[in-house]
Amino acid sequence: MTKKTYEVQRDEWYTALISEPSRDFLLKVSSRLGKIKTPYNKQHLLEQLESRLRTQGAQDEILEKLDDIDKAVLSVACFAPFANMAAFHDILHLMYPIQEVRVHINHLESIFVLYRNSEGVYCVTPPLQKAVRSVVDIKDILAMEALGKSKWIRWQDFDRWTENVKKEGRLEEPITEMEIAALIAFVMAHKKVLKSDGSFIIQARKDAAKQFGCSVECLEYLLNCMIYLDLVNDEGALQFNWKALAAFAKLPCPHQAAYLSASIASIGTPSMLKPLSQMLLDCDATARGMRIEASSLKTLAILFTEGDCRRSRYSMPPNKTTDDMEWDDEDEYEDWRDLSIPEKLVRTVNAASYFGFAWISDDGIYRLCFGGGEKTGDVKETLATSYGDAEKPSSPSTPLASVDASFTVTVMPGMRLESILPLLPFLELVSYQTAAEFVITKESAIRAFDAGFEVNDAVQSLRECTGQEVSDSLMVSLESWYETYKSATLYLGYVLQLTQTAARRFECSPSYEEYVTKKLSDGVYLLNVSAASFAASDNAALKILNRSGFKSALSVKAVQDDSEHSALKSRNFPLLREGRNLLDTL
Amino acid sequence: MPQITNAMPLVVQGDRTLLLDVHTALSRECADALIPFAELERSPEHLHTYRLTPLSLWNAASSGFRAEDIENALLKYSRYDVPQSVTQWIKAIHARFGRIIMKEAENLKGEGKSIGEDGLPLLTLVADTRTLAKDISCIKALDKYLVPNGANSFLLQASARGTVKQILTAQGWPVKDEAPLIDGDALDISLRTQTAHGLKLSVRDYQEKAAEAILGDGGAGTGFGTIVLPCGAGKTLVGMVIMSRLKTHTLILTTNISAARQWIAELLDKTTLTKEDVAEYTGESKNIAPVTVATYQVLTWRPHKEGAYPHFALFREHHWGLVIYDEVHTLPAPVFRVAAEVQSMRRLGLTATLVREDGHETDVFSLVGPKRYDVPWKELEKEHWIAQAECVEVRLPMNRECEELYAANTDRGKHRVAAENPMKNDVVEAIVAASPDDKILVIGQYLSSLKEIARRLHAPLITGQTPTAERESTYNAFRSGEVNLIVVSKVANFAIDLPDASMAIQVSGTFGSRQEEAQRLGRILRPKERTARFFTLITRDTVEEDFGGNRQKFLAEQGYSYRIVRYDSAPDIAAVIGGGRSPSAPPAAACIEGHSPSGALSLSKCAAERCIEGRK
Repeated sequence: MTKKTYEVQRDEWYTALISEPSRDFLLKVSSRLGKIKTPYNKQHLLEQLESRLRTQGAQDEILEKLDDIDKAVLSVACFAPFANMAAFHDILHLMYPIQEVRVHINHLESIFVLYRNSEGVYCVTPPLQKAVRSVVDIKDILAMEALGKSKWIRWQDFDRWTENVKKEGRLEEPITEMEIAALIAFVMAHKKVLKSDGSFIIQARKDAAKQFGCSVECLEYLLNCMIYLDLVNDEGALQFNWKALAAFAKLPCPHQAAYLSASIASIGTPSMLKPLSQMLLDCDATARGMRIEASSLKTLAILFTEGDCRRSRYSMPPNKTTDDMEWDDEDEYEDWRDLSIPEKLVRTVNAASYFGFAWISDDGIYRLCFGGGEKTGDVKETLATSYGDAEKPSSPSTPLASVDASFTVTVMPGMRLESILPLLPFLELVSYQTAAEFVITKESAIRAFDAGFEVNDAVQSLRECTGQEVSDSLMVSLESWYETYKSATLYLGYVLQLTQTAARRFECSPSYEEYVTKKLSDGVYLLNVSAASFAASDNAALKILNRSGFKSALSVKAVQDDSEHSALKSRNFPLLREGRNLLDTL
Repeated sequence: MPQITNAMPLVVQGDRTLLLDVHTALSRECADALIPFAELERSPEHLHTYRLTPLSLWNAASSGFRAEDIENALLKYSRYDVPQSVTQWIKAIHARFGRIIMKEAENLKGEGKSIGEDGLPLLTLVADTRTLAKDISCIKALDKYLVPNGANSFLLQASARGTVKQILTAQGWPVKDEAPLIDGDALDISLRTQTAHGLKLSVRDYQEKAAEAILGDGGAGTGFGTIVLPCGAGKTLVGMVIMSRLKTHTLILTTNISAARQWIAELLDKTTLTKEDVAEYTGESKNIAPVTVATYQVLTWRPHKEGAYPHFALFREHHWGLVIYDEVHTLPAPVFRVAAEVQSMRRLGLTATLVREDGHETDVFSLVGPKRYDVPWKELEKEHWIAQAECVEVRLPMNRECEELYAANTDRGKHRVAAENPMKNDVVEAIVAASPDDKILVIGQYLSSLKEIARRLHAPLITGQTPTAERESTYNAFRSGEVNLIVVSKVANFAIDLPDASMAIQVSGTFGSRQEEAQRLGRILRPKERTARFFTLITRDTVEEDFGGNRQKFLAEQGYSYRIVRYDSAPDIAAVIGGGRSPSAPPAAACIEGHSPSGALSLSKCAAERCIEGRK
């Protein structure tokens, strides 16, 4: 949001006062400038008022009389990007009776400390802004406490807290990029992972419990969030969207964390993904090293609501006041859609707590840690099991990954997802603890080839991650497995067979590249026609032939299905014996 | 090879595995620090994996290591924060050792010993708290052995000593055994200063220390335990040192007849014992002498499947003062039963690893004794007492005829077709031709192809049908250098002592069996000037390749350098042989790979061990 210049704000203030009825205007101005002689010039009076308010004496007199409610009201006006009456209500209603707040707003308006602009937003009068800023504090409206003064969790409560955290499937420590990498490798090795309700199937649950050092619930949650972010497509079997994953992997870690946490709160409202993610990062930056109450989280949501979202009344469902949101019609998301933005933020932070990006104490106090490496000594004191950012002195040349002669790949904390992503499809997860252990097998390599990866992807990534050349043994194996993989390929689609002359002509056609996905052998081509809908696809395939000059082709030749066309031929009748004349036996 | 860095070497993980980065300056120091309280599981070239187990902690506790010492070692070398769950677990588990003590019962009347129904002094089991005693009394399996005797102690017969310890250890409560041990019949035995073969015999410092660790001051809680030393480190000599100190009748149990005979030969060579003092108790000869060497196999033989083990009488019918369990990690389950009954004897377990394939580690702990000594591998490596080996997997194609046969066969048949790929014979011939200085064993599973190889190479063939005399004659010819190449079937897996074999070429096998791999590799692992090489020929794109994966994993995890080479035609033999081998060239594994062979070698009687001083 761009900050308005003093002149713009002054003009806005003038306009607000001038537009008041003359009687009210004169009454208010006279309270500060004394009796007004007629005829008067409103512009001139406002200039006089502005000079008066600029004086130290006037400012001291005003500031001296401000009480706590005044200061809270002025804090909202200073910090909220859109301080309308609804914002005052939402931020202050738990701290003060709202009627009282209204009285104070009116009072501050009457003594020229506040004015209301044409959008209904309350602003601090421009000549008083500097003075007011010196007496307001964000803590007047936010219940935040520095960890230094009051520890996050008392040491003696730590065990109870970690127990609760584990019971609920939340992580004590923020998940790392390696955990995401491990989950990707885990999912790739399983043909089926999720049930329709989003939880793991029994076998996947067993395997995950064995292979991961964290709760299975957290992994389920993570995988579902990855689906919401379209990093994984859930169409029967899970399929990774490698391009989206590559883009995600390039993001700074806190941004990844914010997107993952916000994904669940953005179901059904994809346009909320970015604002909510951004809000999380803003909240984290504001409340870093602080303990913060849920009500204050909502306040932060209001303070950080930007753009189109701010037009809505904060406590009202956004879909009722904005018309530019994209909604899905699915009823299952209705509950989420109807939430206000502050509520969504609270839920998002709750989601973040499952990933260890936020911690919630028993009494509902939050602490955010999206920054990853910013954990203070205070937190380390209570959370002895921290990793990822706690490497003891080591030389910069310490490689984060190694691959041994049994093709076991061990990855240390700190490895970026971006670096290991091209290698991931080749890896089968063995275990994920502080370090992640994978193994490259024939099966995993063939899965990678099938997903479109090549030997070189693995080799380049291994080189980058280990800082070493790939061993000859691994090269021999990868190449041999690739040969095995290539030895048979199953295609689904339209195959065009041409005679030698026709093939020569077809390959010279300008649209050859466009029409052909792959030349299978001399005169045999796999056409670039989707086989999704056969009726439409038949026409598309025939069109290609016609456009290429083969007008004689009238239909697509299909494999004859004996069961449909040769019913009598395939039907078996029980053998009958010759007819027996009953009379002959008498 | 990655550069050595100054990073901390250890990664402590929540599942209680410890990863040791061998490319760090402190890795050796750290490995030495881990040995007393963690088990080495894998030792490939970059990261060695150790594991903390209850047994490893109790073994450490019995050697005097405190939980704080263990925690401090982890904190000192850890690269990342040590998970709190791990340190808490260490404290909790370690503290269990010493809470239950077994000792001789005091006479209820105040004088002398209380004698039980078995004619032996009664024992008492004392728990350190009433709660623990109550927990013990709730263990149903102990009902018939324990009689409550006061608030937190129980009386038991001496014959139940082992069983009670076994049950409690299995329940997670190790027993500190301070009950006295009986002395067996006396035996005049000393170590020679010069062996019978005329070589100077000296006991190495670590061997002395290992013996000391078992014998202690002779007081309560001493006289039993397990010594963990790598192959080639001279475990047999440690046993002989202990025998010479105790000077008592000794029963030695070994893995097989060959190992038994090797023990006898060593005893006669290095101690003052005469042939009359030493006897073999095996399937072939059942004699008893003051020192009797038996095999696990003969002990566990019984005429009927459900019947008793007649040879267990060997334990009871003689006044043994010491029982030595060689390769204790292979001790068969039935032997544990009799071992439980003879707990009043001094006992010594010898092994290169405490890890058992059958999960009976706790029985070794409670019935033989806790680990008392483990030697830093680097010291042995420094002295070149550990053999180095390179494994090469050669993947070769099939000819057209073979391919057709393979395609048309059943799964079982496929394995045989791949194993008998005729191209393997060409490759064997080429490797042999390119290695004139090596003493080579060609090992295989199928006789027809072995016969063909033997015919082509004009080499002697030894199979199960070869008479013993002919076998011995061939082995002797190999030992003397008269023959440099033998073709052997799977009889070679066991009991061949061919110290100079420097190369093995495996043309077929089950490949999935860790034991077979270890035993075959063991044939060439005796310390020698040149790096031993173990070639395995595998037919590409067949079931053999799949089995090869298991084999590769196993051998690489044991720390052996492992190379995969593709062979298509004769010129590729250079790559197969390649690697710039020189007599002094170390394998490609990293600085402390000498740790590794524990699992592999210890699966069989390590040949290297048997020549502990012979090389000198």
